[in-house]
Amino acid sequence: MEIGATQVVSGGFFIVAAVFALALVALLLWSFGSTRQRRRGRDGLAVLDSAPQHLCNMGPIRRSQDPSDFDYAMERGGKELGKRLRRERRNVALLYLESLRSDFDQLLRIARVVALLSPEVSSSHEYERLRLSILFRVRFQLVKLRFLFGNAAMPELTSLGQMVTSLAIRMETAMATLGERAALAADLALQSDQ
Amino acid sequence: MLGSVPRLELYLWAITTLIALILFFLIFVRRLDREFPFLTAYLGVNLVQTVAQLFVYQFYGFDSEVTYASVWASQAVVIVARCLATGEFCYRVLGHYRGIWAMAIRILLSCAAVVLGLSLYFGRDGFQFGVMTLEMASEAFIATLVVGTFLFVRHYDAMLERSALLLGLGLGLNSCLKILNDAVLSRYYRSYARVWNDVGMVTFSGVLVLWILAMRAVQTVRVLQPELQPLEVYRSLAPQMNRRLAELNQRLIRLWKLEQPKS
Repeated sequence: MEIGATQVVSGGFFIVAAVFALALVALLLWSFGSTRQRRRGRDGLAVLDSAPQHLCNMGPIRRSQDPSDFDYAMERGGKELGKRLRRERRNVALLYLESLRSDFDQLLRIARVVALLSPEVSSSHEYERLRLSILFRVRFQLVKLRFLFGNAAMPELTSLGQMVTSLAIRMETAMATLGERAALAADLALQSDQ
Repeated sequence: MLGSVPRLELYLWAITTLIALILFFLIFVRRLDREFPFLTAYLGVNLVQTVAQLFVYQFYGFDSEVTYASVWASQAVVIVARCLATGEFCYRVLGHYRGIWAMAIRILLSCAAVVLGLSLYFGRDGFQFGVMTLEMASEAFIATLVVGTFLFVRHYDAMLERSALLLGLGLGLNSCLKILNDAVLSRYYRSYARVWNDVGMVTFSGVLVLWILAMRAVQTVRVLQPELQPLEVYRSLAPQMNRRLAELNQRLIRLWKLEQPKS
């Protein structure tokens, strides 16, 4: 080694190499730990049985956000009652926002399972979904902060929930159709084997 | 010649070789050589290198040019063998999922090639013969493949056998710690040269123990492979899902800006 060691590497290269190696170790241990701790998801398409279910909450959520209730409470019950009602409304909205996020996550999981079990995937679709999921998470946090510290218009939140639900309904319909086709394909394969 | 080697280094060398032999024989006893041909070949090459080094050090000493050239040439063979073993690991983890594998291998090789190229380019002013830069660049290539594979597994929530998990962890840690070890030696040669080899051997011993656990964890009963669905499932669902996810994002933007929704 002494023969080849006529000069040492630059400090910059050393720092970059060290940081790169440590970053890879951190990523390795993080993904290793996540893989071990994650509950085993259901195999194959069984994950579709747990599609988003929050539609049943939409009506009560919408009714709870009616501004006339708040005005009435302030008028009849005083400022304290109005404040309490506002606080509780905000907590309900935040819970609903969380349910939207869990529904979004569930839809993403389903999309991942579909991609995983597909004999062919499109890089552009996968990249698009990754990009959208990152954007959603960032924007979700911003909206959540808005609810916490400001006033967000409830109709937008309601329409957001409707969109997540309609996606779930369409996906269930599509999977039912494709399930029939998969069964037909399996029958055809069985016949050809015989 | 070997008598001039510090005792600690000799003991570490012996222990590392012993562990490697145990792993090598374990693979053959459990008949796993057909399941892990490249890993087996890598271990075999490693053991052959050890024997070759013994002869070279004994007859030519530690400071001759013949020793330098032969040791580093054999190291290149070992690294190539480990690259192949890494590819075997990646395929074992993701190969069952044909669509994901076709996409992942292209992304992984591209990223790893970029890392290799950048390492060679920015490390070109290093040692006169560049052996350390070459080794670091190669290890960065391997580490990128391993970490990238784990990230794909995490992203897609793919099944991962315990044996593959331990195998990948060993490959990744081995490469990352080698990069660190070589980087410190390249920068602080005079003070670190005495312990560089010891650190390398201790690290490799730990990795070999991980791989022994991995081989013991290999399932003897065949695990059912995931059943792939018809291609039309993905082709019809993926664009719909992405379109809806994009619309969800737009709704969040409008929620943030407090505009009226466009119905």
